[in-house]
Amino acid sequence: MKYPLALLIFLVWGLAGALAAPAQDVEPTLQIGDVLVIDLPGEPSFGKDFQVDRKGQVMLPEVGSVPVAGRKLRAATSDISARLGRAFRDLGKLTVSLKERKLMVSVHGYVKAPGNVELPGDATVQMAIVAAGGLMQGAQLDKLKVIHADGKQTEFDYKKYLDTGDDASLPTLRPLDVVFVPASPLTGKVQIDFDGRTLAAAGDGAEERSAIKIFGEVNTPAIFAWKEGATVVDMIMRAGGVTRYSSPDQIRIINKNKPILFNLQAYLDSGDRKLLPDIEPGATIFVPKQVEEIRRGAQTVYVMGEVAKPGAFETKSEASFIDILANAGGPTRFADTRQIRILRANGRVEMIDLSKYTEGGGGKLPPVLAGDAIFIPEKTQTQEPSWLKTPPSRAIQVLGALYKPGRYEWSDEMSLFDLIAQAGGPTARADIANVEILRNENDRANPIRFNLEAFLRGGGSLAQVPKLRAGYVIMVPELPQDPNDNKAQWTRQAPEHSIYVMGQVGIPGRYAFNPSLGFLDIITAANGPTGTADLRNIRVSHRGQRGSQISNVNLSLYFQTGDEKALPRVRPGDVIYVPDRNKDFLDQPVSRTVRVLGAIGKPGRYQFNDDMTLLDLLAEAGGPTSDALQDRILVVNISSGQTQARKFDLLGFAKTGDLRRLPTVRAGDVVYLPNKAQDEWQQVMDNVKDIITAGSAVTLGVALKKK
Amino acid sequence: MKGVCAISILAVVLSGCAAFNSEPWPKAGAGGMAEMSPAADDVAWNLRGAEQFAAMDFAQAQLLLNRLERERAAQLYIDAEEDATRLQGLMTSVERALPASTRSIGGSAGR
Repeated sequence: MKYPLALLIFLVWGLAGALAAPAQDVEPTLQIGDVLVIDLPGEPSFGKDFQVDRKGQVMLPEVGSVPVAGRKLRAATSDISARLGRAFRDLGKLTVSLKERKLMVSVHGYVKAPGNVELPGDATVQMAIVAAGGLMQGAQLDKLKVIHADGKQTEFDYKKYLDTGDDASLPTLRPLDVVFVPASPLTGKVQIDFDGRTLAAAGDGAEERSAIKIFGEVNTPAIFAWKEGATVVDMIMRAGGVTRYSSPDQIRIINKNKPILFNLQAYLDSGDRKLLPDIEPGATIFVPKQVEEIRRGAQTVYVMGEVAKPGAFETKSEASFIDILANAGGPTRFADTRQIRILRANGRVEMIDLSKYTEGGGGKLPPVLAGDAIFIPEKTQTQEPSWLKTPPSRAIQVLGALYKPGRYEWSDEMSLFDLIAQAGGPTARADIANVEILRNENDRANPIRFNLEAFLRGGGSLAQVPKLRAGYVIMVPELPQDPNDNKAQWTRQAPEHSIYVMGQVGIPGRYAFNPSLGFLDIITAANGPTGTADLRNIRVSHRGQRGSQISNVNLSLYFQTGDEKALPRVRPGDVIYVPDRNKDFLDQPVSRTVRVLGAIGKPGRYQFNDDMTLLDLLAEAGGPTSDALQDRILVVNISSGQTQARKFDLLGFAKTGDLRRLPTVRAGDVVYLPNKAQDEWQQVMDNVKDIITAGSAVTLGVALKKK
Repeated sequence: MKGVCAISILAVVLSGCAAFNSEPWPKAGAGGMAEMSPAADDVAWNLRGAEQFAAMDFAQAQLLLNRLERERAAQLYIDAEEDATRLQGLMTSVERALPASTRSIGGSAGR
């Protein structure tokens, strides 16, 4: 029974103790930094604040320092009272109270104002750092230390606190603690001013053993702090990503001394998380440079020639020709995009005309399979010394009177006009009315002729323009030079394109001619008729027809009437002859002349037409001579049916002016002027005169005989 | 002396006979300007515009017409007939050349 009583007593005592405990805690234990108010009425040197110094003492007037740190307030009050008793008598009214607590710590290391700082009693590490002016650039945030007065050290991760706000991870400060902020190892051993941003970019790994080392083709190779759960991609991003020269499919990682090959490209293509290896602390990541190695693989296509980035490319079945070409940087300006070739893996070669395709020329680009090679050849320059680069199957030849005749590369969608323009166009002496095209088909050359001049002038369906093909020969003939100059050049001009002008023209010769030209064109081209040309009797021989055909041209009549009908239609091959007015009499047809004979000034054959009369003829022939029988001029009208002679009395006509006495004269007739000796009476009189003369002579002879 | 006279007279007679035995002089001709005769003025040239549209044929027709008139006057009827045929051909050609509105040629043109 005595045990329950004892238990009861124990419980009551314990309860009383428990209740009394808070009362004991109310009385604080003094510590360094505390501020006490010591008041002694009547003494002016008291009644103010006294701080417990770093030695744990308060400095009192008159009596000196009294150690109080670590003592209860009441005990400390007794100590103070006892000490003051040495100099002061009435200490009954002495009061000592704790006004406030302050924390005296030191902050050292990478802070702006290292030294002792005085803080509120509940201050944290962060307040201590702020009181020391804040952190300097280059401070290692995760390695801060608090060194306690007893020599114990507490390391803590200030960065973690800044990340999370969890102050449980921060140590509680006690008086005289030293907060030490270490420098990052990246700041090096030499003091320099640096920019914190570049420092961070250069890596934040403080501890070499756990830091991740990234180097190679990344933008900022550095050592970075390892972070739980960070992937290779995170680390590469931390290092600024890979450079353009990197080989992202060949990234090497050393995880716990084991090398791993990481294909970033494959991961990015697939998004497969399994391809992404974990990064262990202390791992090394190397992003290699793209090396010029002979790449070969089941999915490789090769792009060669005039592209920006020739090389081997990994392809996929859905990659088109354009995809691959674009990946190779596209054709350069030297590329001949008309002649792109695909060299198939099986040795076959396919041609691609990319220019035609891009111009909407239709067609479909062939698929490019793995193992194929795309070859983009260099453009053939016209001034390039070697013309052998263009094979005959792609060349066309242009000859003759063009500014740049030569051998040109050909594509079938081009036209004759494109070609002539490319060849610099026709020269001034080009005969574009007779462009000759030699077509090569099935080992046979067939010439055709095209009148470009007529087409340019008159237009027409483009279907009329001959289609050209590679291998054809185009000849633009040259018009002949002045026919007087160089007769050797005449051989260049085909007879069927010539016309011949002979006789009384300025420059007789052989002239280039086409059917669109006329008679006057060619006469004018030959410098026109000369002064002695017989304009009434120009003859045109039309050749190249069945039988012979001659046109007589009376150019004089044309000038008289202006009737174009007077001009014959001439064609290439015809001959124009302009006779001389003073031509050989054999050339003058009987049917067009009148023969004037007898006693006249200039007997001869005279041209005559039905506007003229006998008087014109006599005047033209110089008129009758003095012994002409002017009253008996004879006219013979020669006719197929009824030839007749008529007499004309010029004297009588002149005396009377009677026009009705003029006889009819037509071309083909004969005019004869007898002389007086042919008058019958004159003949009789002449005979009589002769007889008389003879008689006189006889009579004289007889008389002499008689004598 | 008688003999001489007789011989002289005989010679004169014979020579005169010899002279008058040659061809006689033909009769005087006419018609050299027949187109100027009043008859020629009657020719009806109803060819309006002929000088403009068929100048050459018209000029040749005029010449041929002159010739025709002259041959008629010179009584060269066979030749005149031939030339009339030619003239008719020419006039047909002239007529063809004329615009439809001015064609009014009659048969008299070939007279």
